[in-house]
Amino acid sequence: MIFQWTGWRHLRHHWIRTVLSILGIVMGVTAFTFVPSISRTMRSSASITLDDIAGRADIEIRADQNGIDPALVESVRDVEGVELAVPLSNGIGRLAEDHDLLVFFGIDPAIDRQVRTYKLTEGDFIAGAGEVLLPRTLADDKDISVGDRLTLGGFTGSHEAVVSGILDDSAGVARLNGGYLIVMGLSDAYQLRGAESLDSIAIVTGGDTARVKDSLATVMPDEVEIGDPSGRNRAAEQLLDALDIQMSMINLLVLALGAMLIYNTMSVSVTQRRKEIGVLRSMGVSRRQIQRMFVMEAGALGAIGSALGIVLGIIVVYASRNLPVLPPSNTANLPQSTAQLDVAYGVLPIAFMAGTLTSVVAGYLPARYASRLEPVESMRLSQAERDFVSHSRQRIVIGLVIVLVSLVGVFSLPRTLEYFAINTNLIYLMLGAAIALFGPALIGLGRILPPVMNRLFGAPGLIAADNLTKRPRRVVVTGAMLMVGLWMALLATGSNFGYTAFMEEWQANENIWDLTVMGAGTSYFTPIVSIPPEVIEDANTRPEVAAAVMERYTTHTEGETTYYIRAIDFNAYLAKGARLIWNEGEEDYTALQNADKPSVVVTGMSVVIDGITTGATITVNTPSGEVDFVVVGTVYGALAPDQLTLVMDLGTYRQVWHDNRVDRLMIALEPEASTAEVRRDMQRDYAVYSVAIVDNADMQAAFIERFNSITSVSRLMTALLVVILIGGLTSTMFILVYDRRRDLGMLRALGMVRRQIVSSVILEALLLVGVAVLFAVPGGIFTVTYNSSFVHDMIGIKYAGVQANHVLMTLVVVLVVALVASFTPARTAGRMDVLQALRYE
Amino acid sequence: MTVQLHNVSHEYNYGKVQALRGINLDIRAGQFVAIMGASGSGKSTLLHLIAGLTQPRDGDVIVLGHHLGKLSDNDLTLFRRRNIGLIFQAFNLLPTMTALENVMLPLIIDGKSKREIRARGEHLLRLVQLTDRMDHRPDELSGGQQQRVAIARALMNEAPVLLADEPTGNLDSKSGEDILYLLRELVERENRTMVMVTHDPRAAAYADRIITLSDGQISEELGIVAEVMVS
Ligand SMILES: Nc1ncnc2c1ncn2[C@@H]1O[C@H](COP(=O)(O)OP(=O)(O)OP(=O)(O)O)[C@@H](O)[C@H]1O
Ligand SMILES: [Mg+2]
Repeated sequence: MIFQWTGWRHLRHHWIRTVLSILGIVMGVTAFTFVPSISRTMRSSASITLDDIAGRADIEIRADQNGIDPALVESVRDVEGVELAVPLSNGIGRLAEDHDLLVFFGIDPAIDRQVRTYKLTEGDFIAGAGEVLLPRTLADDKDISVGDRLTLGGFTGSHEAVVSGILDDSAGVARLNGGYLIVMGLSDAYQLRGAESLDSIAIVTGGDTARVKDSLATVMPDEVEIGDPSGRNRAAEQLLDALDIQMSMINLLVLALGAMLIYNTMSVSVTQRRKEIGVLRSMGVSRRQIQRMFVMEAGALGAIGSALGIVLGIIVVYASRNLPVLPPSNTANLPQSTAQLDVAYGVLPIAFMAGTLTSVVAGYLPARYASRLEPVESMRLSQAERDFVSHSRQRIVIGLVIVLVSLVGVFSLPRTLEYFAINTNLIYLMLGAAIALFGPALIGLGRILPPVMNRLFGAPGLIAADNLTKRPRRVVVTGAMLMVGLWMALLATGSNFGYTAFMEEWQANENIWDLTVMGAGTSYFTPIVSIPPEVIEDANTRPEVAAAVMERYTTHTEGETTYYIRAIDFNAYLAKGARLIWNEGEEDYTALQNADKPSVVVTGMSVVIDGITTGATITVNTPSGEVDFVVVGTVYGALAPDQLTLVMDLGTYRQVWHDNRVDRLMIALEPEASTAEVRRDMQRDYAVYSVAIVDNADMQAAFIERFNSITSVSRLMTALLVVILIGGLTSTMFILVYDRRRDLGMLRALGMVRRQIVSSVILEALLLVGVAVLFAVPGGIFTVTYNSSFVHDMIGIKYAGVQANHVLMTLVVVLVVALVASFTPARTAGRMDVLQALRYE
Repeated sequence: MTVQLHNVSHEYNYGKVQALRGINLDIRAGQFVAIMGASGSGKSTLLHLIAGLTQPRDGDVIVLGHHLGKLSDNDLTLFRRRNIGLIFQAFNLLPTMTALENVMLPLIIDGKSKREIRARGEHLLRLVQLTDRMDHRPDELSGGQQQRVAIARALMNEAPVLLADEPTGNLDSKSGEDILYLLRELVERENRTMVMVTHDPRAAAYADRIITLSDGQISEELGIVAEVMVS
């Protein structure tokens, strides 16, 4: 009983340290609550998208770029076992005089509600042509109410419609595309889309879905896909699995850092109460009782910290509710739903248990040490410290072997999605090895560091270096923690910088155009209807237009595989100074432009998923027979990046496919022309054709939005890490100070002034950080280069490489961490009363 | 006068413990003074006041002309660094440093480089007969050897005033005598001033003067007669 009481008094007396260590667990548990909430939300946004679009369908027939002929719906209905066949035709457009892009969602009002969900909050469901439904969000944003007449800007001019009802956008179709969507009858959609074609047919079967699928295959053309609605999510799921591994590793690391904090605090507590422990022991308190006292203390701290962490986690989740959490990949040609960030309640008990348990374990180790203390040990270099030094050779061998094995593994395994998890874990294994090597490195530095530090900083430098390298056991946990933290910080910020840098590169090389004229389609990247020759001719003769580069953008399906094709008129493209952003292979367009020897470049996703690299040959069954395309390089595709895309010269394409259609015109304007005006003029002049004129700045904005949700998470993680690192380093510096009180008192007695003591403590913190940096910077850079570039390949953006300014910035942050963390302990050391310190045992 | 105490009183615990009461004491350069007295009589407190490790609650402590009570913490520390050689009862060596490094510490603190002071450190260790233990850490030395390292360290800065709190408490009588002989010789040859707290009358016999404290006051002085006669 008395122990609990003294424990509590101790904690209260040293409340700053207590708060700091609780903070560690709070942070760990917060991350543990927040991170799964994000990945769960991503998953649920993928699955609600599925629900919202495919609804209660058993089978979904999905179109390729060319759409499905509406006449086929009847043939589907005739197939035995099909109870319901529900068509969907969607496209993009806008409200007249408004720039926001909307999804036009064309349905058959008579039957659609049998597969998809619509919750009316006002008005009535649409009865037929000329009537539309709007989600509440859109209605509120644009100030539209039931009964209003709207002018819809599609690709074939404008079209009038009346708002018949407003939808609740918490569920169902109204949730798609963030509520920026207009539901209308099929005939209206066809008009706005400029073509009578469907994107999907949702099918409800009576029972035997497999048999119905087989029968459907016989009536449908080859290029449409007949599958489970969930099939669409497979790519997204794969990516999510990969992300999940990464997230849970980060999770564990944050928790481990929290545990290290508790460990530190308990160690300080033990050191400070050494005398008390000695007295209790001599009075007959057993080792076990001493251990129990510390374990209970740690457990109590852990429980309080975990509870606070969960609360904070929930608060953070609620505070970030308006982060757009999209599914990580959009391979379907359909709008997506954003799920609202929601707490993954299932992990809360686990987070609590994990937080409390780690604290107990972290408290047990110093407790065991405390209970074994012999009073005479205090003045001598402790046995534990000697053991630590003598085991360092083993550690070096183990550490180096692990590093070697991981390196060999990382470099010999293929860089494909399949092996992503293994590769990632190998890298984390390397981090583990670095932790094992940290102590030996400190010991090894014991020869060089003290004289160097003495020369640079005099006595404070010598004493700091000496204590750090000759008594490494005390600091190795914190050092490793700093290393891990820095490593993770590099990884997190590396991603941010990567995105920004790539955006700049994309902007400078590929997205140099002012406007893009494209055939009507479902998104910026998926035109459905080609551009009429009149438009191409007119665009080229406009005085404001400096260049209009043609591109055919289409798909080619062969059995299981669908290739996306981007055929660019490279002559004109290059003449205007645009270029692709190459990954592998030498940047050389002459081979591409040689139509007699067909060659292509492919985008990153093809490399990661299908293992297609430079030098490979892809055989495609074209209208000119089987053609072997030589892959002369890989590029980062900013457009449709996550699909297997073949980029070739327009000349090659035309010669092989005998097809002269054009889907996109990339337009560069004369310097004095106004983009907005030209766009408006073109919109007016081309209203009769099914084309959209897109401002490339908007395209860039859409692109940036895609990455925002990812980077905001990593920013948050970095902030969390910094707080944890400050806490950890502070408590360790406190240990170093309290533990050596007597030594410091002696140094003061021998004539060290306060300032020298203070600088010695600060130098020690800086040195520790320095050694951590020694490990973390190469390790972090390797991880970032390897891991991020891989993830970037997957999402199709170029990894810009580690940048000096980014590493520098991280180092500055770490420096600040070291200074902030050592400030209070250093001041405490400087202010210590000499005699009191000397009396301390 | 090297050390002068005028009416010095010191108390602990906000006056609850009266450690020294109205001490008046003058010590000349080249004197070897032993302080004796029962446990708790204030011997260590007196030594700490002379060393400038703490400042008196009352009265003046003047060492080598410095009014210790008027010095800032920084100046007091610099005063210790240059003028005081301290030998603690509990050695207080840095466990991470070798014997030689420990000995050199006072001058390292003063900003000297190891290279220029190494010879002196080695010389002092030879003086205390630890030639073969220079590169050993404290935990590899016996108690007596550690004490000798501590003594060598106190001599490093060539301080005019040497203060020792029971320097021979941990030594066998032979080593104890050797050390005392060494200290005595130093005082005589180099005209240093030495104040030593001891319980051991045999150790005290090495001193010129023996001051006995009881209950925070000087109760007895021996050797003063010889002093007077000399002057
Ligand atoms: N830090 C302190 N706080 C409170 N009282 C103290 C402190 N230091 C010493 N005292 C008290 O002051 C008195 C003198 O102590 P001092 O250490 O000077 O005695 P001493 O003569 O050196 O004894 P010993 O021979 O046992 O070492 C004692 O009564 C002691 O209890
Ligand atoms: Mg004493």
